[in-house]
Amino acid sequence: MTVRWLQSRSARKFFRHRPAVVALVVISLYLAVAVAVLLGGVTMEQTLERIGPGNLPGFQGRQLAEKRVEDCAMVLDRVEKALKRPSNLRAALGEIRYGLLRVADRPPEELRALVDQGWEIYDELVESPDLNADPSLLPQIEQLERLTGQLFAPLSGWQSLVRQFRLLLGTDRQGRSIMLRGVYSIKVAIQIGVITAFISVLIGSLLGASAAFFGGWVDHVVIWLYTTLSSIPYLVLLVVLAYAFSGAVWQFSLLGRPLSVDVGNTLIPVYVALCATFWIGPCRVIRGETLKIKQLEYVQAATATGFGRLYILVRHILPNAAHLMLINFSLLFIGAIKSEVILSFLGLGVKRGPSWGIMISHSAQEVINGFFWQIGAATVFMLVLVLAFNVLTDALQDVFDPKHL
Amino acid sequence: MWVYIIRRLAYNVPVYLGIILLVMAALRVNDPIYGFLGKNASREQYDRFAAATGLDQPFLVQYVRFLGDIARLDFTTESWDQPGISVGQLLSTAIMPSLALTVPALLLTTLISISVGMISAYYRGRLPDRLLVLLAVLGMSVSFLVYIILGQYFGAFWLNRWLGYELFAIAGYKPGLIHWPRYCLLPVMISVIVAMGYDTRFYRAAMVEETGKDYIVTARAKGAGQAKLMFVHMLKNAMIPIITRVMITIPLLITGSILLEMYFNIPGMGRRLILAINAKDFPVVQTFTAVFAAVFIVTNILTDVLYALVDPRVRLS
Amino acid sequence: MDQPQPILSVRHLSTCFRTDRGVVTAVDDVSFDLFPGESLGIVGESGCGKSVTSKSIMRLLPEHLSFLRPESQILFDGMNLARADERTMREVRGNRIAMIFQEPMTALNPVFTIGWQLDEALKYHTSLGREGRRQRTIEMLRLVEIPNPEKRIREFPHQLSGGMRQRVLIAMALCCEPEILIADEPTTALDVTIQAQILRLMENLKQRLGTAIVMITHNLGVIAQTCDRVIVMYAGRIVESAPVKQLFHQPRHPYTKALLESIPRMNPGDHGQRLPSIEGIVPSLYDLPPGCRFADRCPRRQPSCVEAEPELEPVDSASLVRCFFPWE
Ligand SMILES: Nc1ncnc2c1ncn2[C@@H]1O[C@H](COP(=O)(O)OP(=O)(O)OP(=O)(O)O)[C@@H](O)[C@H]1O
Ligand SMILES: [Mg+2]
Repeated sequence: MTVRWLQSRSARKFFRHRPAVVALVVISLYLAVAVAVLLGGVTMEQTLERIGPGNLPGFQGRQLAEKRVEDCAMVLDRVEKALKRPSNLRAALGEIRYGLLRVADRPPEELRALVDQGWEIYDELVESPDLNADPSLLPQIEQLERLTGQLFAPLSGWQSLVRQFRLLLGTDRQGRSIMLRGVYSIKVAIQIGVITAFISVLIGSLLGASAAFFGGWVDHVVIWLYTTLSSIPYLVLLVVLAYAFSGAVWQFSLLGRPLSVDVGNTLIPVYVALCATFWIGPCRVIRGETLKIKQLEYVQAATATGFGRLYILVRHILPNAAHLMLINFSLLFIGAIKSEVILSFLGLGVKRGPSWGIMISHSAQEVINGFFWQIGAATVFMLVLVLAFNVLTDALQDVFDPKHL
Repeated sequence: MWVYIIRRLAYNVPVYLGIILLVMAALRVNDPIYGFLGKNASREQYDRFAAATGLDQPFLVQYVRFLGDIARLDFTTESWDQPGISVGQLLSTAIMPSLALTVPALLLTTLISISVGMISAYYRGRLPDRLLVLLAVLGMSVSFLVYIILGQYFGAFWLNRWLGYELFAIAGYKPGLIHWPRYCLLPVMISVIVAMGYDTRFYRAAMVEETGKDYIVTARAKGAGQAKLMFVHMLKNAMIPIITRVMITIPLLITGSILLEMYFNIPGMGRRLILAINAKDFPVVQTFTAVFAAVFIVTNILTDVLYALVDPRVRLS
Repeated sequence: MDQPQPILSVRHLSTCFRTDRGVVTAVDDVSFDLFPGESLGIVGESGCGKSVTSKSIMRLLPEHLSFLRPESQILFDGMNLARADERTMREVRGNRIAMIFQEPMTALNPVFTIGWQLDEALKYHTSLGREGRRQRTIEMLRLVEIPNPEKRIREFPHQLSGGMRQRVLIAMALCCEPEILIADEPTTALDVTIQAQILRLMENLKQRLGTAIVMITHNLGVIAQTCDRVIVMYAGRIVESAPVKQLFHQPRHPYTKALLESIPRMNPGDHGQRLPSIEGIVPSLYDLPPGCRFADRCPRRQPSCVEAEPELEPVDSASLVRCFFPWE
């Protein structure tokens, strides 16, 4: 079936559409990353870990001198505090870690000497009335940074590459890697997108097709249900549903063992809320299409020859509406990713770990201070994926449904 | 015409009954009283609260009572979170700020998007059109929240620093027309920009669809000029998809205004609803949802009436 | 011999469309003259380019999809319409050259009243006042025999029958008394009695106003009744051009002959016989043969026919034919 489709006219039309092919490649790349994350490429702990000073700009961008000096001072301060607890020095020093960076395994005296040297330079530097405007102080700042760097154990080649990758897009306010958080969020987004879109299209198609196919009261109930649901403004419904499930704890027993799921802390409320609103689109479309297909001769012939109704539904109608499901899947995928951002901002979405929504809502405070790396990174990560899906949807609509407005 | 309006009204009654039913049921999935009092509330506390709020009654009784309240526009139920204040009081203070955002946003979005859509359709296939389509697709792919955050930064912080005085307030709200531009114009502009991404594409498609119609060729054959074709012949025909689109835009704007109200601290209905949800303030959530749905249904009926006004085929059938 | 001046003279008209499968030439090197007061018929199978020819003359084809080849000339009153700007065309359209369209069901704007749509043309091309235009509109509707025109002008197209809509379109085309009327299958959508009425109506108008008519149709009966001269088109090309009598008595091109033979006749002896039809299919515009375009279906085909395309050449004083082996 797939092979046949690849040789068909619509496939040729699709592949002639160059942007669509690019979009497909982009989506595959995102999927690959999502799978890699799922297999442990990036763990949630890593995204929550402090890897350096806060609000470090990406691409090794230069910061204001003042901030550089302060970042050094913070490290000096932490090491100094640890050194003041000789009873469990090892443990105290071990706690100081920035991602892969660990405090160097040197005798405490050496460390103390480094720290003291550092403070000396620091004291000189803070004497200056305006650090930022004085380029003559730059060598001193660099020296301070070098000193601070010596406190840490040198990284192997591979490790320093990894560290550079993590710092590539800078750090957020808590010094966490924006890169890792952005990449991890790909998984979250794709998970939310795929699950919601899949369930919604499934429910919508089944309900839509049965409504049209069986007619009568089934049709009335389905129409009533979707008119009703679509008469509540979408976000209000989302919010109310998310509210209804927040804090809920589901208790059931599995194989005799009692299990309780703290639903409020999972993504389940998000899925329920999104699916409850998203199935309407595919349902309408599939219902319309089924009504059309039902009139076709071969379907009527099949009905006349007495095939089971369900058989006809599955055999003739659903395959003929498959392209519409595909288009709707793609549309809903976009919708889910974008809704996640809004729900997360309202505190009703992702609860643990990063997501683009979490990143964007957290970046509000940074933007006021003129730091755009986090919002920029999350937006670009999201833009590329959503854009790819938009282009893909357009191409699919062009190929399968040219009269679509 | 009146018959038509009454028919539309009658059609929407079961829909509204259904909305209330679904909303009420959904809000009871997770016990609202435990939600409010906390999981560790004692049995007596619970029972007393339930009796006081009428939540101990059977669902059907509650349903009928609530419907009765809505039908009589009786919003005297007390808020849980702010004892002594009725839902109606909250509602009446929240309506104006919300309208001050959504109504101008709707008007501006529609006007601007139609114009841009028409420009795009006019230059169809040429550079301005391609540029506009590209911008629209890009614009659609960015989250609303990003627009809000950046809009606030550049529209308020940055602009104010650059101008040296406060043109737009960073957040907040004051009633009155003189204060409107200061507090509401920036949020309205943000929501217009966001909605434009979706709408211009649609209006362009609607106009392009019209260009190919036989009656447009007829009109050209009569000697009609491009402007006459676009603004008279095509626009009036495109009114039907346009009205449909406006109807689709309304819930989007409501969504948008909820976010904008939250972000810009505007005490409208959306902000109230979200605050109530965070405070587990059950009666406010229930009533506000019902009101949102009612507003929405009324706009639906209005659109149907507009259809009939624009299209003689609907009116006379 | 003192030849009258043609009012419209089309030379080497070639119209191309840009499609996603490349550029196609839907009308290929078409030339003809139209004289004042004359009726010229254009016939041919569906898709041969009749409508495209007429829309090209009016420059009504969408500009982002189509273009005229540079050698095309449409000479009208000292102007070359193939090169004219939109402003000039607007002056000409509806005023000096008017057109009746193929589909009466869709050619009227559904959201404006009949009166408004008729009024529009008058507004562009006459200096009549509001009331004057109304009078003229009613007069025109009466002319095309629409009963009760005072009431009809306030109605919308969907309230009229197909025949009435077609008449409205004719009224619309004629209200500025054009010098040329292009009628693109004005009767195919109508039943036979109304068809006859409409044709009679157009004949009357021609007599009264001296309009030159281009009658496009694939109904040879209509041609025989109304036209003075006929052009036969096939796959974008003119294959034969002759005075109507000559064409019917002595068709030269095998395609014309085949067309004529496929008209049902009411001869008593023919009863029960199958109507002859033309075997084979029209070549696709995307994939034209190098030789004669009709060669595939031609009963008189010779080997040379598929090698080169014949030119359109005179066979006698009045007719032209594009064939190496025309019927004598
Ligand atoms: N917009 C277009 N794009 C591409 N090709 C076109 C377009 N319009 C017409 N054509 C092609 O031009 C050719 C001539 O079409 P035209 O409408 O002139 O046929 P016709 O002779 O009027 O037929 P009919 O009797 O059915 O009206 C057809 O083969 C058609 O495919
Ligand atoms: Mg035609």
